[in-house]
Amino acid sequence: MSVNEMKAKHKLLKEYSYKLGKIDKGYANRTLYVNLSENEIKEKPVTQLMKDKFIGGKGFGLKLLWDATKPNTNWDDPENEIIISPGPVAGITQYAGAGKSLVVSISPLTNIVIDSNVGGYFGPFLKFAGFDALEVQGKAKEDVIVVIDGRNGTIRIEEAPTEAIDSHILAEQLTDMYAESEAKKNLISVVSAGMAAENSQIGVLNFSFYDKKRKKVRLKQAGRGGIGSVLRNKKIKALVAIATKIESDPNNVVDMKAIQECGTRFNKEMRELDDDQCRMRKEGTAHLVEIMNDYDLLPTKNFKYGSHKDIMNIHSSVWRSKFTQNIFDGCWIGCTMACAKAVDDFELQTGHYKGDKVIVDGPEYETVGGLGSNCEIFDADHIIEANFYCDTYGIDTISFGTLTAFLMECYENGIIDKEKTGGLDLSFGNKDAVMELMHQMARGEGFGLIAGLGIRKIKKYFVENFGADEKFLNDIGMENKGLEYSQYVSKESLAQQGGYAMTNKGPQHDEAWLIFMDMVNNQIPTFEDKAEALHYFPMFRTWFGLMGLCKLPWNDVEPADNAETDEPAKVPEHVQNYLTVFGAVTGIKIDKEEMIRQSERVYNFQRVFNIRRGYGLRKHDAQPYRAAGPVTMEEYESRADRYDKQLIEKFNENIEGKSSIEKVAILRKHKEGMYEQLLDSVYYRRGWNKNGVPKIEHLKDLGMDLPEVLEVVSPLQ
Amino acid sequence: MTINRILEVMNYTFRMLVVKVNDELVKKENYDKFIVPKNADVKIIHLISGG
Repeated sequence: MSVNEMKAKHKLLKEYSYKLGKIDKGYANRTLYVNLSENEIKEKPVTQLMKDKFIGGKGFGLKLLWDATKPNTNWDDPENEIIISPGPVAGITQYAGAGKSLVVSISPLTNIVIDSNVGGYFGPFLKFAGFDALEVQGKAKEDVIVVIDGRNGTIRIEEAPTEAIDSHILAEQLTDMYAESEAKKNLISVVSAGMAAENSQIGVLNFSFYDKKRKKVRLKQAGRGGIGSVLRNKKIKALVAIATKIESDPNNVVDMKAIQECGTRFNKEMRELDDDQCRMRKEGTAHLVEIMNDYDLLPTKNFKYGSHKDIMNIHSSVWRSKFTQNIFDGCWIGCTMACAKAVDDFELQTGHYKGDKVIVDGPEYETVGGLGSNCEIFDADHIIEANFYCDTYGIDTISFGTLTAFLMECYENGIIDKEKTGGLDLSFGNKDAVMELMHQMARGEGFGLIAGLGIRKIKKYFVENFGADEKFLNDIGMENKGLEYSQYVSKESLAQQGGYAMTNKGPQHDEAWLIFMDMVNNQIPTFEDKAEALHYFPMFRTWFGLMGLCKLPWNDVEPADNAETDEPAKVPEHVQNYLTVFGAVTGIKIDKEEMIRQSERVYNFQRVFNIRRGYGLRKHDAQPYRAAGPVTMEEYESRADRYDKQLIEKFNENIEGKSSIEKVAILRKHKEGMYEQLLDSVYYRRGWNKNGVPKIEHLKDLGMDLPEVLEVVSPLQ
Repeated sequence: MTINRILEVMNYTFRMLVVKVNDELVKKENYDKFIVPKNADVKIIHLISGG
């Protein structure tokens, strides 16, 4: 069926016309509300309070979601929302990494707020069309698309019965359908999920952009927390944003010259230093694979170990050879880091699209770790194939990888077997079984349906149905708050254990990555030092999500003289660039202290949001023991020298004559005690009480003592 | 022993490093030439990337 025939089958449910406006200093000053149950569309003003306290991006998402939901709203209730907000800086093209959108929703995996950042053109185009955020509530009766047309100022909700659901096809269909010509395909961006998002709770959103050089639609993922599953639960096939053109200053910034000056300096660093530093332009984040292996940080066999003998099969040089080189790979215009690498003309070996030659976005480091090493699969082509299907089916490569590794360890321990999996041999390393599991998830059948629940619910299912040992599953199931861990072994870094399990949304590394500072450099030896790092870095990194900025240009290239600065780990020159860019876009001058306070307001609000929903307390920051130390004897014995040394030198234990099982238990007691001390230290530094609740005086000091916030925290002081 | 040799021995393959010997910064272009004195205090600070 041609796209014109598909379009002819659309049924218009609602059309809304609005006056196109002008963005003023980074803000469109209104948000867009769409209710699919009522077919209602309206504009909402952005208040000064929203700008002052919540800034934009994730901040706007949290504020709108708080107002739209009740404390007991479930992920699949109509009143749950998906909110996409680009932030005030998003859309500039003169500084790298300025095209991010932040997506916020109540997660099916965690039952608390999830936030996920993503590239692609949708966020900037939403703003160019006149809105600082899109808020989608309600549920449609049949599959719909929502079209935000910035060319003529119309919003349309249309039933769309015949388009595909899987993203690589759907995004192409809708790009073809709404572009006026080939030359204008880059003015269309599509948000979609896929068949497995519909049948699981680990769904992603794919945000498209049109690659004019390749003449292909590309996909970037808002991966964490199952927001793609929320999309499909609302019966949304896609959200489409259409721009008129991409202007040089769509944000109407205050001081373009200042932005250009920072951008030019940064671009020079990329040109001159990237090849000797992170090689982002050639390898993307996959440059980290063998480095993590060398430091015993690359998860293998469900985070049991941190390195593997077959590392050369997934070494960064392999990815460099697979990625198409010498082509611009930025996921937003003007990003000279250009790390959105892709494999072209990859011939699929399995599944519904077997034999098709496709473009595969990635794999990035996390995908290599999740779909590869953690499942003990050291086969680059398998990882590319699995990456493609995760994307088009709309599931998160990180959650899928971590939960599959968990299932494999359960299989290894006899907790599940072929009878229980419906014939799947989920031994570590069995790539065919992994692909079949994924295809089952897309088809909504078999063991794929159980896997798609995510680790926390799988554990419960195994205990209730198979009589599994709950304690063992809690030790090896790498989830916290219901979200699967991303792909770093945190056993030897207490600070990173906090960096994972003390996050607001669950263990995603975008809040803090402290392993080198802690484990290798020993720069933060005391609890106070670790607490300071677990205050500064999560707050600093939160700031990117308020702006619509990508974190990678902050520290994946560093100025030539960065080593000579007082605090090289913070990359001071780049921090100054961000302060300049924010001031130059909005006209609001801030210093680096206020930058952190901007984040703190939103970070604390998110913590209180979780508390309002019955979470967000100390007990919810508990970690699985696998994140801290060896659960099994074989793990202990694989690094016996290291652990023996820790027991003797760090914990003053006499281990003479002790068995490995006894040593596992002694080490565990110490490691668990240290984590509890870390919680105390970090809570104190963050202005929270011992139960992890923000103190009222701290909220007042931040200017975040909003009545609705105080109402939640007051009884818990 | 040169800085490069120390990095090799330690298997420090990460490329974003700050190296200080007795609190003096050693620039990257000198990693091959700089001979570390006996009993020197060598700090090899790994910065952050990825994540």
